Amino acid sequence: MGELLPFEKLKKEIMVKKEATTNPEFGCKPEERPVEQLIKYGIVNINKPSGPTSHQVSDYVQKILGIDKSGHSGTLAVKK
Amino acid sequence: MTGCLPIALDKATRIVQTLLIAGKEYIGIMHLHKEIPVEELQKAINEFIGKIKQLPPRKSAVKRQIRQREVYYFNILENESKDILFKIGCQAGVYIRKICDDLGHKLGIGAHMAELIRTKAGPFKIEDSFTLHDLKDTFTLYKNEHNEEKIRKIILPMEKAVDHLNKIWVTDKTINNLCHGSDLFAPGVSKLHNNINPDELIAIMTLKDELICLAEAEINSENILQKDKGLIAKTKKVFMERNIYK
Repeated sequence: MGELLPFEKLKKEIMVKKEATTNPEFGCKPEERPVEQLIKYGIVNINKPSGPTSHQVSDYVQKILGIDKSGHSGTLAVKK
Repeated sequence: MTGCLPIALDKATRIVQTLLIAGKEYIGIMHLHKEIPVEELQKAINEFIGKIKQLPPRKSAVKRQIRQREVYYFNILENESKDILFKIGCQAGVYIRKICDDLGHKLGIGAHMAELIRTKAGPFKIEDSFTLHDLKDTFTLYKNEHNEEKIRKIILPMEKAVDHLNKIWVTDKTINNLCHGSDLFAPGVSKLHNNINPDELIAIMTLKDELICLAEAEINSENILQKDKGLIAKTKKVFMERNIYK
C-alpha cells in the first residue's frame, strides 16, 4: 500500500568525518537520565480522548507531573 | 478529533516545533451523501494524492488563502454503503475535513468527515501512545514506590522528537560553544547523516546521542564531509543546559 511518510522512506546512513571519543565524565546517554531529568527534558506520546481540547490535555499532563511548561504538537480539534 | 498527541515537557517544550512541521497520518470515516460505485470513488480519491491546493476552512487559525500541500497516500480501508473508512498520510497543515468536503463536491454527491483519529505525528505512532490515566498511574507508582520501570516507558527523552530529522554529531570540545548559541563550524563535526541539504532543519547531537540544539544546515552532506573550515550549520534553538561539557 506504500503507507509511509517521506522521512520513513529515507535511507539514512551515517558518514564519519573525524573519529572521536566522548568523555564519560560529562553528560549521559538519554536512556540513562535520572527520572527527574527525564521529566525536565522529556516528551510523552498521549492518546488524546475526544472530550478535552489539545490545550487542556497539555494542562492535565503538567498537573500530573507537577511542571509549569509543556507544549503539544498541533491541535487535534474537538468534534463540533 | 482523537489520537496521537505528543506533548513536550518543561525545558523540552520548544521541541514540538519539529513535530508541527512533520508529516501526519490519520484514519477517518467519510460519510457520502449518496451511494456511488467504489471504483468511481477510488478514481476521485486518486486525484487528491500528490500536490493539492486547499483553502483553509472558515474556522481555522491560519490566513484564509489557497495554499499548496502534499498528500503522500490516501487509501480506502473499508466501505459500507455511504460510509468510507480511509487512511491518509500528508504534509503538516492539510485539513482532512476540507478534503472530504472537496471530494464530495468533486463527485457531485456531497460528503463530510464523520470521525478522525491521528495515527502518526512525525516519529510518534498511535500504537505507542498512552492515555492520561496511564501517565497518572505510573507517575503515582514512581512517586510512592520509586518504581521507575513503567514511567521510563511513558516519558521518553526529547531526543525521540528528532528521530525524523537528519543529524550531525559533534566533538565534546564543540558542545559548550553550541550551548552558548554559537554556530557549528567544520572542525567540530565528527559524524553526519548522508541526506542533509542546505537550509534544512537538522539536529546537532553529542557522541552520547544527546540533543544539543536544532540548526539550519548551510551546505549539503558531501560538502560537510570535505570541508576543513567554515560554517556548517546555524544554531536555531538550544536545548542542552550550559556547562555540562566543560
